[in-house]
Amino acid sequence: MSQAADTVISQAREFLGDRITTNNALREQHSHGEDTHPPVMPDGVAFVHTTEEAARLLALCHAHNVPVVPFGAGTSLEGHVTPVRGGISIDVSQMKAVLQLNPEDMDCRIQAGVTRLQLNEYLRDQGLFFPVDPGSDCTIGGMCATRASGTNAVRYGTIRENVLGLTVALPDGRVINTGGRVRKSATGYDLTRLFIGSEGTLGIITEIQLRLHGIPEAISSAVCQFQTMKGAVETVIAILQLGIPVARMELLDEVQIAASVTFSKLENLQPLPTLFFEFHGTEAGVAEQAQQAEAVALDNGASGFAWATDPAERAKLWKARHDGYWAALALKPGWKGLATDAVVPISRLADAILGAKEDIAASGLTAPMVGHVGDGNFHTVILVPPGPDGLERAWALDKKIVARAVALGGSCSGEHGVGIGKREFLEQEHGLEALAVMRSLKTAIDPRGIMNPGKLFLN
Amino acid sequence: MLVLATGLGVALWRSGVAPQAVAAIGVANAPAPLFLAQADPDGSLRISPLAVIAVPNGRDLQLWMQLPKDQEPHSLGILSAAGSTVSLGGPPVEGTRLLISLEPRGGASSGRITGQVLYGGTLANR
Repeated sequence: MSQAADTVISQAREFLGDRITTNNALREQHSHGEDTHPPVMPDGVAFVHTTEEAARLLALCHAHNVPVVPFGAGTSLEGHVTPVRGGISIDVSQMKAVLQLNPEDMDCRIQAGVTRLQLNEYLRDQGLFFPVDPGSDCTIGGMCATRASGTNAVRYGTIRENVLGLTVALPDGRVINTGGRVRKSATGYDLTRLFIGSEGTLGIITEIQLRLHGIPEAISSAVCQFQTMKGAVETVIAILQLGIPVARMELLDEVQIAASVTFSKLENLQPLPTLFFEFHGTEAGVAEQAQQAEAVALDNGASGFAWATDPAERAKLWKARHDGYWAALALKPGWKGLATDAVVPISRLADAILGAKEDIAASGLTAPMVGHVGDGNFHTVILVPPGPDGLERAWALDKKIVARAVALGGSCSGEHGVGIGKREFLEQEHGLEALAVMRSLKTAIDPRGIMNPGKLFLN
Repeated sequence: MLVLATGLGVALWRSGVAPQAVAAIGVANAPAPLFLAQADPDGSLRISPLAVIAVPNGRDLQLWMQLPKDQEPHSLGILSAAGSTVSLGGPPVEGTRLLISLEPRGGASSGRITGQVLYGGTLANR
């Protein structure tokens, strides 16, 4: 451990007590996310409970030039939480308070360690819910930091559209509040959006003001299968271009559905390209939307809708979708998975997905595909073969899929973020000048470069 | 003075907007309508898209109306992407249902809806 980190840990004990630790098991736990990047141990792990504690600890790290890595639930898929230069991993997962709930304004204020499932449990008896659903039970602070979205984004937007304001502890220990409770404001730079997706490189998000939504009167889910991926993708495009307001629309290719059938014990599904739908609204409206979607699907060769109106059946279906990553890994026990995250404009979705399928076939690798195709985003879980060139082959396939998506006017990451793995694509996607402005912002807010070094930017 | 008052009265009467019937047409539970329908007293009906709607290849959107007394809707023709103006065949009747269905290219040949009704709305006087 560096002398500077040792000093920070000793001084922070005065206000954190044993909530700052050098325990090996905890350092190991904070050395990686759920990705394939090599783990690196932090020098220490601190569990903060308040904005003030986070700010005091940051001020200490700033004074001693000690790197800081914010940590939530550790579900990052792009290496965000790996302390590549050591330092202190500041864990906000114990900041679990719902600070304020305003049902009449449909908003709430929470601490950053509150998870999606915890919040929705809390809100249930108010008839409200928080819709952003990346699948894992990540912290909402982490969702803000990585600009997460998920299966509901097609109807309710991503985290970006559902955050009204933030409290952020800056690297030098200052605390700022951004945004507010109003649905719009025309005053000054939008600092809220600056910190959404900043990946812990500008400060630590400690509190979040969230928009909430009414729990829909009726929800129904359906599954339909296709002989070809083309039919499934064209169904997605047609449904969106006709303005049918689906709440979720998820694509699973034949490899993924076979994995999910085995892993999640799904019944009556063949190993064929499959779409999962969910419709929200009134009883009559949901039935109408579903009929419309079914008509479009049948037009594109679907074998018909299987309905899941029973809540338990519906929950099983979506649990299977959310467990898709683990189902994919179970195809090759002991292998790791590299998740791709390309997103393209809806009109280019067929080119991107069918092209990616060709890339996968040419690579000789196994890579099940899932996607929140309702917003043009799709993932492949590239299963990394053991052996010296396994990871290299997987990365080569990932780069091919990303390059195609970017060339189609898309982005290398729809919702996982840049982290370590996508840094090299930023220049192609944003251009040198935009990247230079991002670096200027970083330098202005974090002049000593202590915040999550080695992420987002190369060098 | 009298002349002036009469002239003003005529001007005001003439500047009044002729009564219209309108309908917002969309999908149930959608956050916003997708078409606006405006019917004039002479029976002309303008359908203007409020969003970009792309129709799948080999298909057309077909407009239908169903008067409150009608058993079934009847066709008002194919909708173009930029919107269409069609004739209602008489002054607009409040409560008339306007429906848009997805049909084979060229429209339903039977004169009845054959595809899925995607959007709907009801004329109301404004």
